[in-house]
Amino acid sequence: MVYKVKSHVAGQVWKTVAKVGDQLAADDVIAIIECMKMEIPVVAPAAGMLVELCAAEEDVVAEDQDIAVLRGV
Amino acid sequence: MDWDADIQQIKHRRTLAKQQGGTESVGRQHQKGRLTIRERIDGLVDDGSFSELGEGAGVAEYDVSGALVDFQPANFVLGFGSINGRKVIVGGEDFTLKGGSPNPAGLRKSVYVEQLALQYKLPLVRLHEGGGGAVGGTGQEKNRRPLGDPVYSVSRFAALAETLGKVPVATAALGPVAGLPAARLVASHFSVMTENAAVLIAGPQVVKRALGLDLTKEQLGGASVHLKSGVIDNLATDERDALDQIARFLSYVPDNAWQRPTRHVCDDPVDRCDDALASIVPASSRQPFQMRKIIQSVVDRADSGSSFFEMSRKFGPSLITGLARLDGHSVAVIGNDCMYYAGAMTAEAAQKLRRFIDFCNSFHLPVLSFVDEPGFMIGPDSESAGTIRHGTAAISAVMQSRVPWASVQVHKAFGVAAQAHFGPDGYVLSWPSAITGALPVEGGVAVAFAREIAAAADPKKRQHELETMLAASQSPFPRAEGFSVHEIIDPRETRPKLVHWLNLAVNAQTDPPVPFLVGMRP
Repeated sequence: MVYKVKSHVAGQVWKTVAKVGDQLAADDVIAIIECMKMEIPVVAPAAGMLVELCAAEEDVVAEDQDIAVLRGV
Repeated sequence: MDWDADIQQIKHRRTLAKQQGGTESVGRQHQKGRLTIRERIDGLVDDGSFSELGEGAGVAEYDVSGALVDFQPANFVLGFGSINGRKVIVGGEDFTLKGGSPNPAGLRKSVYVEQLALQYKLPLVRLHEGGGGAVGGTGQEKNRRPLGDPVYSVSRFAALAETLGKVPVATAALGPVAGLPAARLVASHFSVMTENAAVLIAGPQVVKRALGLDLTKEQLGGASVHLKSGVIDNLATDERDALDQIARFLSYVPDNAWQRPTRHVCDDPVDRCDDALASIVPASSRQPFQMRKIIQSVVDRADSGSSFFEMSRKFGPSLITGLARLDGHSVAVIGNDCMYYAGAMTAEAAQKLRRFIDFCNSFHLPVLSFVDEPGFMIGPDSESAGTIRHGTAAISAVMQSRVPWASVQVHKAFGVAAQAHFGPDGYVLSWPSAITGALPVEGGVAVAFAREIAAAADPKKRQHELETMLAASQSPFPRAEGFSVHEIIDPRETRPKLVHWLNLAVNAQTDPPVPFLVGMRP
């Protein structure tokens, strides 16, 4: 199963934590969005491999914008 | 005179009424994975407790001799039932007959449920699946009647409007719900929908004709739309879950506005202190934390894990609203969720808060407020959404509140929006992690002291000095010294402190409960 991982808030990508090809467990942090001076983690919805990062550091993202694509195990 | 034939006819008509739309139509309903209205009612109420009204209402067909040959029942089923031993009024459209679009007797029965709830002062449950009126009017082929209601008749919407202030109303969308049933669906304190339900003002064909847009029912009014629009409070995994959520919601509220909620037995120790609370708020205010964990830790634990029942999670998600128990008393809980916009009050969160506080006042639910409010959401989207008006309306609702109110300042309380978390005559506790002010230091200092910072030999250093100085003034200790809070507490003491207060507050409610009425708001 392929998951599109979205940011649930609008903000700016402060840091990308995971890299393409990383094997992630559920709830592992993929990226951190800075929103209203808070660091909001975007986490893996399930265990799997990160196949794409759709946003880079300092990108401004909208609510519900895709941040990454994860292929579940 | 022997009434045997008539008595037999009553039995016969009852059997025909139970056939609903007929075997084929009921089969189609089941194939879609949906229950019939009678199955739904049976699933909601205690076994054998359903006492129907208007079973004999419908359209009968007679042969030349006057003998009954067919009977189409009203496509709205209603009656009294019990949920966990408590009487309620329950009704819903029969989708197997004309897709729930009202037939004449169905319409008469459907608009009667609110009057019934008002008359008997009982909670009302409506299980919706059906369309609104047909373009040709109700009852086109059979039983033609004069067009329109008499000019002197009372509008069916009058009772609909009145119920919300008098009796608890819980509704479910369990299939397509359009037009009048959709309006009735949202005239409720709690609404739930299943994944395969849709809530629509008008369906895809009408939208296509009027706007030229090709959209499915789900795209127009599916769960992903209406959990965020605020039309629906909660999603149900299936019909069983929807009925269970309604039963759970009703367990927290009284039968009507003239009663207070019933206290339940509490097995959870009132002096339970959770060590996790001592470190749950991170030292850095940039790091988020889980407000739900704090709420669940403080309120009563239950068989299901927690007595906390969250409502409207996806609408205005920076504010958490739900019902819970504390030492067995029903309470309403609000709290900021800093995972969404740092917990800032958006236009949606403000509408959610106003509606929730009015609900609490209507049914006498004390409020526990867990505060982490950075202020109104700022920026162009927030301005366009009219946040300041909705926010001020929410604050007004809080200020007009008459229920016991306790606020636990967990973290931030900034700006005007902070007022929405502290009710009149409230009991105010502060955690050591609390910070209070007109503006967060990070943003506020750079603006307020712009000239002074620019004129300094080392502007960065001066800004840092000012921020450090002002951050100290936002600490909870000077506020406790100034008696701006009742107490600054070890977070682990939150549950025992709130239980002690709540029992005092409940004991002080000596006036008989009455319906809640307020004037205009911003």
